Formats: sequence, structure tokens, C-alpha cells
Amino acid sequence: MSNNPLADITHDIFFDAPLDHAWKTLTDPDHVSQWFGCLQYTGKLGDVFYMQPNPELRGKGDIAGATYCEILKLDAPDHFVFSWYVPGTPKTEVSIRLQDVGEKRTKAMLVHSGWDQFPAEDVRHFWEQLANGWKSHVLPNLKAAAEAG
Amino acid sequence: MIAGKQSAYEAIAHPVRRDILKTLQNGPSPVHRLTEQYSISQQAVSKHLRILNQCGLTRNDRRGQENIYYLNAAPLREVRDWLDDFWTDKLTSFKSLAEETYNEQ
Repeated sequence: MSNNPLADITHDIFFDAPLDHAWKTLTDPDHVSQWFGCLQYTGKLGDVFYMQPNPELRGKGDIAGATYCEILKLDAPDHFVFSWYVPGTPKTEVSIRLQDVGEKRTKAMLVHSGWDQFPAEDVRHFWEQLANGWKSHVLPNLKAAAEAG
Repeated sequence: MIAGKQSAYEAIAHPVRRDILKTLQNGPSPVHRLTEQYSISQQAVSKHLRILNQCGLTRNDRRGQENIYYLNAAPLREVRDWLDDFWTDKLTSFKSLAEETYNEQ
């Protein structure tokens, strides 16, 4: 991990499913809402979906205080790109690229970029606000679900 | 949603407040010097500073006649750590769902 707070955030993960199945899970509206927990995802280029950290509002489909994500690229079968921003602030970008690594295994590579558009203090506070919502609502739910399952 | 969380977004969105934050990155500044930079009233600048303080973006110290504002700096590291956890969790959910649905076929 980089010490530079404005550097890209990168994560890789390998899994036991072939590329075409991974693409469907990554981008199909039924699946995206399950692994990503977003609202109004249509799977259409140019459409906007929303990340709502407050579970009460998410349950009601309310996007107040949500992060906006515009679908920028849906290049089947391996490249999904969307923006990630709070209205009125610069747009960061999330790219997820898939790679067939053989034996019906797939590698997913995530890059979250665009932090150099912000003065360092803005980034910190932007994320602090988001983190407060996500930390208190999303992560405990994920943990509970994982442990129950 | 708590009002404070919303207002931090508003704080970043406003051009004058963004500019004040940039100025304060160069070091603390008394209110009168910040006011000199803008073609708006001291009252308006004070209002912006009050909002920045309320959002926790800045702090101020009164030193005699001077009212000095500075950035409320905390480690950026924490934010990076949080984001790393967030994306790790999301990708782990993606992996689990892809593997489960593939095995069910």
C-alpha cells in the first residue's frame, strides 16, 4: 500500500469461476445489488447508480447522502468502469478488470483513481464523511452475514 | 443521516470555502488576512469559517486581538486504511457470489 494519500488504490483477488461467469456476476443487475449493495443499478452505459451507507434509507430506496456512480465503461467480457463521487466534488473513478488465468479461474483487478484532483485536506474529509457512514453501517453487516453464512 | 455529515459535503462544494482550505494548507492565518483575499464582506468570510469549523475542517484560536484559523489535520493514513478495508470486503463479496452461483450451475 502506498503512503501517498493521493495515489491510486489497487486491489487484486482470484476466484474459482471462469471469466464469462465472473463478468455476469460483476455487471448483471441482479448480481451487482447483492455483492455491491447499491441502489438503482441498471447495467446500462451512462446510467447512474447510488451507494447508500445508511441502511434505513437504503431500505426505502432513498439516495439522500449517497455516493453517485455513473457507468462509464461496460466492455464485455472484462472491463467495468464507473465514477465515484459526492455531487459538487471532483469525480474519482473505479475500474475493475477481469483476466482469465486458466483452469476456470479469474483474476479481478480494482483500481480506484483520481485522488490527485483534490487538495489533500479535501480528500481526507471527503473520505472521513463517507467512512463514518460506511464504517458504522456496512462493515458490521458484512461481518455478521459472513459469520452467519 | 446526521446533519453534520451533509454539511461537510456542502463545505467542500463551496468555492470560497475550498479556497480558504487551500490557503490554510500553507499555514494558519488570522481572519483579517483571509478577509483581505476576497471581495466579500468580513461577515461573509466569518460565516464560511464558522461552517468550516462546524464541519471539523478547521479550528481557531484567539490570541489577544487575533482570531487565527488553521486546518484540523488528522492522519490521511486512516482514510487509506478504511478504503482498503472497504474494497477488500466488496471484492470478497464479489468472489463469494461468483463462486457460489458458478457451483450451483
